Amino acid sequence: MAYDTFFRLKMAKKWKITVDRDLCIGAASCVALAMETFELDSENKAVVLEGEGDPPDVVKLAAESCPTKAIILVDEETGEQEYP
Amino acid sequence: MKRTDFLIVGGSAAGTTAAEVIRGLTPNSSITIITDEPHEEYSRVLLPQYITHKVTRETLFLKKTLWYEENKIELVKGARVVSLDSKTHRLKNERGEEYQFGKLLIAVGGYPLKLSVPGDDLENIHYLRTLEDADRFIETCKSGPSRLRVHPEGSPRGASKKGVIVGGGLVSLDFAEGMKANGIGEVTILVREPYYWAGKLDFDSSRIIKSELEKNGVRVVAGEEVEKFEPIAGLHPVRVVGVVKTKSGKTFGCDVVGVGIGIKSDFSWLEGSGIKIDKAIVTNEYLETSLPDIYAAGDCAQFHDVIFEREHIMGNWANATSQGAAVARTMSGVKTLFESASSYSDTFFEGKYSFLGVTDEKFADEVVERGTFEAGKKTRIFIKTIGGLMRIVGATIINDPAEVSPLTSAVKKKIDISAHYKKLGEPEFNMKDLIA
Repeated sequence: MAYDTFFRLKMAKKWKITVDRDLCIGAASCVALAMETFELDSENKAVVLEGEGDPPDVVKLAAESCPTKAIILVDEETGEQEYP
Repeated sequence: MKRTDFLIVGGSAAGTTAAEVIRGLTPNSSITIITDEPHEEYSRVLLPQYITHKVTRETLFLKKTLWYEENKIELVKGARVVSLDSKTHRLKNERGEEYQFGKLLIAVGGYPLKLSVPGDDLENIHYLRTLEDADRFIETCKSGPSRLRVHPEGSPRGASKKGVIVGGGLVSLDFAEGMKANGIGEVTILVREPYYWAGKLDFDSSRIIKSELEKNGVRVVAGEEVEKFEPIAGLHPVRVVGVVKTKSGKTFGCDVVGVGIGIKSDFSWLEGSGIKIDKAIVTNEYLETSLPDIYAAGDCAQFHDVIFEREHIMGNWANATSQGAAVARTMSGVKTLFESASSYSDTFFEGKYSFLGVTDEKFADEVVERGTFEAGKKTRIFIKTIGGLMRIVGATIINDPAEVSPLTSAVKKKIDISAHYKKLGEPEFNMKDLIA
């Protein structure tokens, strides 16, 4: 098994990610930390990219780095909000 | 003496992010954060929204006490660090507590530069860096007009209050909005330079900002340097600021003053440690300082930036968090190159501005301009040929948020823009074509 695949399986916990656009100010720390998951749109607000994205722990760090707490993480399995 | 594997000085974006990443990589290590502030981590970025009452005080906090407990991170609050013995790996704080560390991260950020003029110790002169600064500012704005106000330039009893802001940068924009939101009727910004934000912006970009300020009842007076502050005359029990006098001889009455003239780190505690300091703590591209086992990140680090192939300081939130994450990996034994181009964006009234990458005319070969004052938006793109590639190294963007993302990507990905170069200044050119 490739290291990368192993890493992703081991980190099987996945998030449902939403960005509160009213809170987002485009500080872009999420993009700096998890560039496979977030990008800025034409209003300079963070949006979630399609696709595999970054490992869940990287996404969590990116959400926690947001200075306006605009990124909301919900555990897909349990449906519970994990952050903020 | 306390012993800790990882000691972090500074509890804001860089320090707290580093602690979290170190915890993830070394589950059994001991981690201590020492901060001179009496709080858990809070968002400095939200302070402007706090002083305009858009967010509550509680919202500012990014970490609660429980988070430190759950992650087994010791947080030592309200203790300024006073000395470092780099040879014995020991550090002491102002309470006399001594720590022996395995590895040390310096992430102290910066303090506002103080305006050093006669009368600078008067009450109601504010800076904006900490939560306490913000609390004091709100309190001053909300307190009623001074009962003993008799200075001819000051506000008479019952009149609307006056605010004076010193400095032409981002903090002054925050103060302006903060004063207006707190009922200060007349707000004047005094700028030493020939126009607002000179040195960072061109004249047209500056005019757009000035016009947004004026639309919101904020006056900008350029070319005025403060000579002194004078107190309200009379028998007031506390010496409270009442007038600002400038070197050209003008006087401005005031009930509250906000000063935003830049920030600087305090490195006095590093004297004698042997650490290399230039404008900030010098590091390589791994954020390692000149001393073994000692690292620096965030606003206090002057790092070798591999994207721009130069050494510089990047003072913004995104840079601080991503440096915190990178240096934590290196400190935990996973040597990680720091490679990121950060940006800083904010809003004031209805205006929006962003700075990304290096916006230094001396560094760039050329600056391409898009937009005009009349159009109400202006972007300046800084271009430099590095290693044979014609690259975008930075941009200042006023009121055009759609340009931020493609320009940031072009900077980060070191895209050769020579094919688009001639069209770059045309308003019809779609920035997304740069990275397509």
